[in-house]
Order: sequence, then structure tokens, then C-alpha cells
Amino acid sequence: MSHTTVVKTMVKNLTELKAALSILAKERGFQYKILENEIPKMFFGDQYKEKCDLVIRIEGCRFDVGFKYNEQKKGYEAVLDTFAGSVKQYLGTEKNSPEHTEGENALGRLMHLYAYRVVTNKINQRRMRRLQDEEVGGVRQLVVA
Amino acid sequence: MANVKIVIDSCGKVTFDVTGSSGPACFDLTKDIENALGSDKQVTEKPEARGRMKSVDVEKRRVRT
Repeated sequence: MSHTTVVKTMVKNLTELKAALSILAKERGFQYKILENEIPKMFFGDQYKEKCDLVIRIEGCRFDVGFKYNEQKKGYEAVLDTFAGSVKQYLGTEKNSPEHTEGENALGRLMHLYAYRVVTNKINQRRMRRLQDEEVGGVRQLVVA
Repeated sequence: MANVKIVIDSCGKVTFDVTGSSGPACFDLTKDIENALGSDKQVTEKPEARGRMKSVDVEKRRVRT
């Protein structure tokens, strides 16, 4: 049956997340480190006390971004401090999208690139034909058959 | 032949729009990709899909009578 599905992307594959981050770092020209089992740095030293599976530390950015596995959701949840748009200027959307939360906007570009990698990998695995693949204003449109 | 239009918005939310497909195979087409992206999803059948279901129901009733 013809149908429409809308999926809110959640990080399930850290390798693809790292690949998306590498692309974004080249795109925006920043340096970063990937840490494992660390507590992400936030505004207050004791703001978040749990270790995350993966932590992104960007040179020049005041705060880190952590990804912590959630057993119930079977994916990694992002942990970050959105204060002053510090993270957003490196990992976020160019323009604020009102239908998304502040945290989603702060990680928007990273999540966009992550979703694109996951989608195109699956398209290639299933040997589907890509009839269209273009990005306009931060929105990517693909048509496959 | 089924076509799938995939739109990835600026924050990574993905919309799949499947056209030209009938039956459950249409759902199989995108299920694999959807599951790789996350479990928080909304599915809406298109009006023409519901139309086809109705016509099938009518045919079944005709067979019974």
C-alpha cells in the first residue's frame, strides 16, 4: 500500500555518527576529539555526572556532546548543554527550525548527515536505483526505485 | 514499479513517501531503512491505498452473496 512514514532519527550506529562528524568537521573547518566513557563537559562542573559511551569534544566549543546508550530505546541519546548556542554553531542547523527543540537544532546538521549516511548505506545494500539526490537549504531529497 | 521519495530535514527527521506499490511489500521496502533510523515513527496510509482496500472488501462481499 502506498504510504508515508515519518521517522525521528536516533543514533544507533556510532561508526556512522563518527563518519558524519568527520564530514561536518571538514565542511565547517573545526578540530575535534572523540572520547569514550567520559563525562561530557557542561556549563556547571557537576551538571551531568554520568559517563557517556561517546563524547565529542570540539576545539573552541565551551561544551561537549555525549551519547549515552538507552537500553529501552535501543539507541544512543544525546546529552548536551545548549546554553549560548555554543554547540549549535559547530554541529547545528544553519537556521533554527521551529518544529524542532533547541537540542535538536543544536545537533541538527550532525543528525542530518548521520541520517543521510544511514539511508544511503541501506539504499546501496538493497541495490535500489537513485533517481534523484539533491540538497536544497539543508533539506535533502532522494527518489529511489 | 514502486518509487520512494525520501526527505531528510535539516535536523535529520526522515519522511518516506512510497507510491506505486500495492500490498505489504510496500512496507518491506522501507522497513529496513526505518528501523536503522529509529523506533519513533508515524505511518499514514495514502487515500488511494484505502480506496483499494475498500474495493477488495466489496469484491469479497460479492463472492459471499
